[in-house]
Amino acid sequence: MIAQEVKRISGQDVELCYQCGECVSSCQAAGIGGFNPMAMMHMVQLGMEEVVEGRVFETCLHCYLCSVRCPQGLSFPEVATALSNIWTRRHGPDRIERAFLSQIREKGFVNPVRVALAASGLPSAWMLGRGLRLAKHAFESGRVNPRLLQEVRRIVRE
Amino acid sequence: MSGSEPQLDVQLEVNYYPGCTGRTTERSYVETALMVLRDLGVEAKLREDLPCCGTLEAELADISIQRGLVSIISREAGEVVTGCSGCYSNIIRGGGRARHLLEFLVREVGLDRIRARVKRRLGIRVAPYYGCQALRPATLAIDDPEDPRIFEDLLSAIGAQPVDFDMKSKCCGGPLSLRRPDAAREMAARVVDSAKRGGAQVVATMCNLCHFMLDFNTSSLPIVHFTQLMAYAFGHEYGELGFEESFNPLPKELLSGDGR
Repeated sequence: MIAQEVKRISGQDVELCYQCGECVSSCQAAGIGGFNPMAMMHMVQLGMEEVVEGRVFETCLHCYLCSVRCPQGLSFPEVATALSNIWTRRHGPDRIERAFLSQIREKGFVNPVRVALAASGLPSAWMLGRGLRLAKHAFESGRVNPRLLQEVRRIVRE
Repeated sequence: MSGSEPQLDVQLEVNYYPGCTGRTTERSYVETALMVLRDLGVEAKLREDLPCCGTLEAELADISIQRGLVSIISREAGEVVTGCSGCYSNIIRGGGRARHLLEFLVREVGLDRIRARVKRRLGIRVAPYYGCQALRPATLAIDDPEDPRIFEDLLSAIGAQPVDFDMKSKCCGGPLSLRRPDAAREMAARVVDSAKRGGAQVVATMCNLCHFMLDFNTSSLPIVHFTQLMAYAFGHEYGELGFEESFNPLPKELLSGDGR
């Protein structure tokens, strides 16, 4: 069951949610691509598969505003993280997660310019304008200690 | 430096964690943070040897990756001080120990000591943009999660005039910048518009990613790292502080004015 799996990963007991709507009314991302934390909590309670497979959870900003307002003390961002972990376990990291993880594995840190290029493919003309000024940073390979980098590579596997 | 600089009773030493963008696009934040810490008598060691905190994206892939990376940071450095709210949140939520630079300056170094170090009062109207990662979840909040004052207090201490604005503790859109770039850009614009309506002449950020988001995606107000303002107030030259690295640099004239 999805609800149990979410609880195991995040410690959040979604059964406590009674759909008061405080989260969705606090949410800056509400409505973007159909994003609605209250409805998603209900879907988790009902065990509806599309709450995982539809990937709507990825629109959560993780700003945690809902978490400080929830009368039941629930934290939706942690539920969104758990749903994302479940999706990734089933399908492997998505394109954007892959871009981050390969940077971490390669250099021990995330080069933001390289991540942006890997994750978004060809940048838009608008991106290119300001983006060009950032291009010099693409060659920064950082100074992460080689011993620690070996350890990082054991944590972030291919 | 004169011999009458205020000294801390106890010499503070910190491990400064730069964050990934602190090694690249937001290097001037790290450089001015270290300047300010040194000016205040804090010995700050830049820890570029430490790996990434995991970022939200590693956490979204698998929270055990985040935990693993944070455990390396904790073992190697114990508690870190960082100006990146994203790293701050990630390290704490991943089981490590971190302090946010702004909170460290205000509470550990103290406003009195900061005031005593000011050589020129800035006299400009500044929008203190908190973003979200150092305010929420409540377990890691450096101040009230929805109506904080700590940033305003710091700005007042260096002679700037903090302005109030609706979006001060809302999200910059950073987490959506790659997944939904249009929505993210709109959120960044909303923050700067709100600051402008509040009467700000400049937006000051306290997070690597917030700075990048506002600076890269908007063009109606200068965007600065709060440490750049502090370093200028402490007497450093305008040209040393990396203002020109921003897409929306703070014009020097604004700093010499009286806030009109």
